[in-house]
Amino acid sequence: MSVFSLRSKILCIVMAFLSVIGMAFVLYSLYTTKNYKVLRLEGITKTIEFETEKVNKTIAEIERFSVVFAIGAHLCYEAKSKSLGEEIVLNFLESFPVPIGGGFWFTPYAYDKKTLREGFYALRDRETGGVKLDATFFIDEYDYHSQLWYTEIASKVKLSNEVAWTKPYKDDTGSFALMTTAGSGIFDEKGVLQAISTVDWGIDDVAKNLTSIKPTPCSFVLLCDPENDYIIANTRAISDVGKSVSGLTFNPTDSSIELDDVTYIAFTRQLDNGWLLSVYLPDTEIYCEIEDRNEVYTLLIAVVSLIMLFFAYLLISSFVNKPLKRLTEGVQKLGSGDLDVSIEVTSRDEMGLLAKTFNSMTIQLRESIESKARVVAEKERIEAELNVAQRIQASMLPCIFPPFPDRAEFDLYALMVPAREVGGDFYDFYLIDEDHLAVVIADVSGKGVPAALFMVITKTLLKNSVLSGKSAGEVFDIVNTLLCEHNDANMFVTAFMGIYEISSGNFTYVNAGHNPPLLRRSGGEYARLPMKPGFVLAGMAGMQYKQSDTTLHSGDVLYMYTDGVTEAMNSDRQLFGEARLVTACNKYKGNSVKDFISGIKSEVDAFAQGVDQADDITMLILKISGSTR
Amino acid sequence: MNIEKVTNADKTVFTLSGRLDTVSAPKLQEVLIPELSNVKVVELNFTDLAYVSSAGLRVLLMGVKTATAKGSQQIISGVSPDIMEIFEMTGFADILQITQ
Repeated sequence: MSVFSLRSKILCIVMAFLSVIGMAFVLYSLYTTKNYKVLRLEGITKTIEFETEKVNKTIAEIERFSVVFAIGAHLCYEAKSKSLGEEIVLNFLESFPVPIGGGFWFTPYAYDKKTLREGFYALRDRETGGVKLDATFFIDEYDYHSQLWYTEIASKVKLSNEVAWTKPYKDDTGSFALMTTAGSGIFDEKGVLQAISTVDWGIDDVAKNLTSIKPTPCSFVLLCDPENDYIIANTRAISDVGKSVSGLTFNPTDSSIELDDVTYIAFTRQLDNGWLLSVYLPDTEIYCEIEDRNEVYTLLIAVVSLIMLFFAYLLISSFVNKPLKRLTEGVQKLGSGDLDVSIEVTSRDEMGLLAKTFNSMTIQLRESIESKARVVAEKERIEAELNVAQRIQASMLPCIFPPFPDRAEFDLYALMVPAREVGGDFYDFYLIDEDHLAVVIADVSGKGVPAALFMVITKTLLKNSVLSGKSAGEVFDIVNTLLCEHNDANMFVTAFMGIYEISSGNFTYVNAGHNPPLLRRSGGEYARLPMKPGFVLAGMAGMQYKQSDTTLHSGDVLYMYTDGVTEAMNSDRQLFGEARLVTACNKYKGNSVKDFISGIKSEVDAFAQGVDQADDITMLILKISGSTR
Repeated sequence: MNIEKVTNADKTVFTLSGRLDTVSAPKLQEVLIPELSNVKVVELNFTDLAYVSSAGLRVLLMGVKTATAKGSQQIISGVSPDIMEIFEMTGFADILQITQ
């Protein structure tokens, strides 16, 4: 239904807006993701830097410490005091907690010409953290000059004056901790190596810290010593620890490597002692956090959008559908004719306005219909009164036929069919005395109530004048003058009047602008009654009407009519006309007066073919029977 | 009915066509009566007029009376035989000024 489609339309619009907002957010998140990726890479690099800097600090300390020990060895040599040597190693080791041991070692016969090996070494106790001298390295059976760590450091410091680092190794004195040793050399004035210092550093903790860097679940860390070709740690393959760097299937300095079909991005940093720390991240994982978050956000937006749509649906239902439903019901009630319908107005929005408008419309409609009903009632009242007027008018015309049943000398019949409720035509006939019959036919210009009133006046004046015994011409003179007196509306009357003297058959008549009657002499045809023309009544004061006369014999018929007969119109706007009327009269000439009149009327009706009658149709027929008393 | 008006100095000519009946008579009355007060001569050309009813006659009668009162003239021209018969039958032929 249309109501549903309205809701759908609004929902579609809301959905479109939500989609646009969603798309904007996706574009924005794509842009920010790019930034996030840069930040992510920077973050990983920073973490690695931070961790390696911490180690670098320790390395620097240890290197410094090895130099200090070397200087200590020189002091000990100068002073030729063993107790000083012991004091130096103990005190320094105590003051710096990182190394697990440290000392200095003289080259063969360097301390003095008689002593092959001389050195001092202190050790930190793993349990107590206290330091103590370890003399086990200086027993005769242990030739430190031939030990690998000694030769390694000695050869390295001879090559360069920098601190030397040994290859990491497992402590074989009992802890099996992974260690490395830093050493410095001290030379005499001839440049001959006098002694080396060693600082032993347990690198398990350092390696543990560094390898705990894990930016993503599948990332791994490689810590190696490329210079000494030694893998310190590999969190991907622990078995690689202690093996040589060259044994790896990849180059630790490459920026990206491929392992088991996974591409890893490498973040590599070299430590100050030459070690290499590489953190490898699978490329699919670097941004997965961000991408996961994006997915979560997208899902969140979708869910929020759906919830908003649902609420929009509810809101539209309550703001649009319910008022619409009420309106529809109201309109249906109104349509079924209930004008007292009123819609409850609850909202102040357009729907409320519409409901208010509807309510005021029903009120106006009610008022309008009531006023229309009043007008119709008024019109009906007027029509009823006009009908009464028509009946009064009709009752004023003689309507009982034969009107004079005891008079055998003549026969009369008449018909008046008004075009509107009340007409302007009339006919009249009356016996002035026993020997004189007056016949009148007239037509007042115009129709309706004014014409009817004028007709009544004319008819009364005519009758009064005739009954006073005046001739036809005199009657018209008098009536014309009287009618002209108060005729502001310029109405006028065409009239024909004749006075028939029954005993002699003399017929005197006068015409005031009326259609000449048709006369049929006994045995003949209908033809115009010859007469002197006269002006209409009430048209102009002071007119003189000349009367004519003829003698009517037995069998003669006089047919009088108004222009409603000859001017009856058909659908082709043709008039019935006098010629057709004469033909029709001759057609019905053998009939009785009544049948003659109805015959003419039927001819007129047949001609008009149902076209509305424009003017009153009035006919009067006088037939002389001849049988005088 | 159509009414065409041509004014020429002291004379106005109304050319009528169609039927002068109950419906159209008020139209003629509306223009004819005031004009008879304005100009000396008003000519009504009936050449194209088919029919005059009693309502039309009434307006012509009003015209004659107004002309008499205002000292102007109402002339009717181009009267067809049919209309002339109406004028004669009603006696209007005697009071109207009719020219060829």
